[in-house]
Amino acid sequence: MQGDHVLNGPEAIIDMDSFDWSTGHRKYLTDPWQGLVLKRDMNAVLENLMVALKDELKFCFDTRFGTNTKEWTELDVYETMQIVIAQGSSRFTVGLPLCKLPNSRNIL
Amino acid sequence: MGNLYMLVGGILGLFPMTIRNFIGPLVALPCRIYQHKINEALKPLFTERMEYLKTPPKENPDEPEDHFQMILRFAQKERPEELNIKDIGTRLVLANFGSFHQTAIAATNVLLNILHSNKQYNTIAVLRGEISDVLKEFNGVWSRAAVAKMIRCDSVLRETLRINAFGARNMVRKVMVDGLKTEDGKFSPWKRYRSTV
Repeated sequence: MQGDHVLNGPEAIIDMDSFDWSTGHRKYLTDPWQGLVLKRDMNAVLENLMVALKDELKFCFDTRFGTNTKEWTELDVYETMQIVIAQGSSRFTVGLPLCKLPNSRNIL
Repeated sequence: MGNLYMLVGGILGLFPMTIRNFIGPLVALPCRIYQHKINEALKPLFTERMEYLKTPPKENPDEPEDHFQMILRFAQKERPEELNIKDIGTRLVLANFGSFHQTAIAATNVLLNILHSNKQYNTIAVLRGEISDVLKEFNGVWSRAAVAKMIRCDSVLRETLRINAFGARNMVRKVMVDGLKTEDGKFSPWKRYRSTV
């Protein structure tokens, strides 16, 4: 077991993914409180979110994968899934109506 | 945006650190533009939510309980200097990057694995049966307890994460001191990376 000053996890991630430049500042990863907030506060309200999340996911799956059970259509699963996840997850990050934006995948 | 992060990270990863310092800002320019667009889209929500911050937490019953509001509340209390649209926007994108990117890959693999499973196991029918049985028990409400009971679905998810794990390396660490030696005498030079496979 070594301290952060000897073996540092965030520093390695920053270097590997070049987050210095893609995010603009390393403070977003050396001090990643956005994730801690999620971990700390989200569990308490998780149960209330489930119903909304289910509605949103049903809506996304129906619109993106289609409800036509007679005819076959071709779609890129990963592309579609990205949109579905982005929209579903945004329901509890930014809520309605922002999560329904057609370009909500951009926040991905 | 997550894809863009990965792309920029991949491109810059081709170059040694000294060169990255020069070309970094240039290669990451699309990230800046994208982030700006996202911030613009978030701005109305941001100004609206800032109104709620004027009252103490949990006093206003109308206050939404979502991640964005949690981020704002935390920033207000602990990091007041970051309570601006640029920092909050970037933090939201990063939080989403963690949750979307991995989930989208995993969910795609789950779907493909279900469709790809051998015919004699009848995976789709088994999963559908389990879900409708459990939901009947819980009056059709998806709750934590209901999901915890769906052991076959859980098994599909776990197996997928096991077989189609992404990122073969774990516990990546950067060596921050000169001349680090492990207990069994392995030498790790300064500024190199260590990880387990």
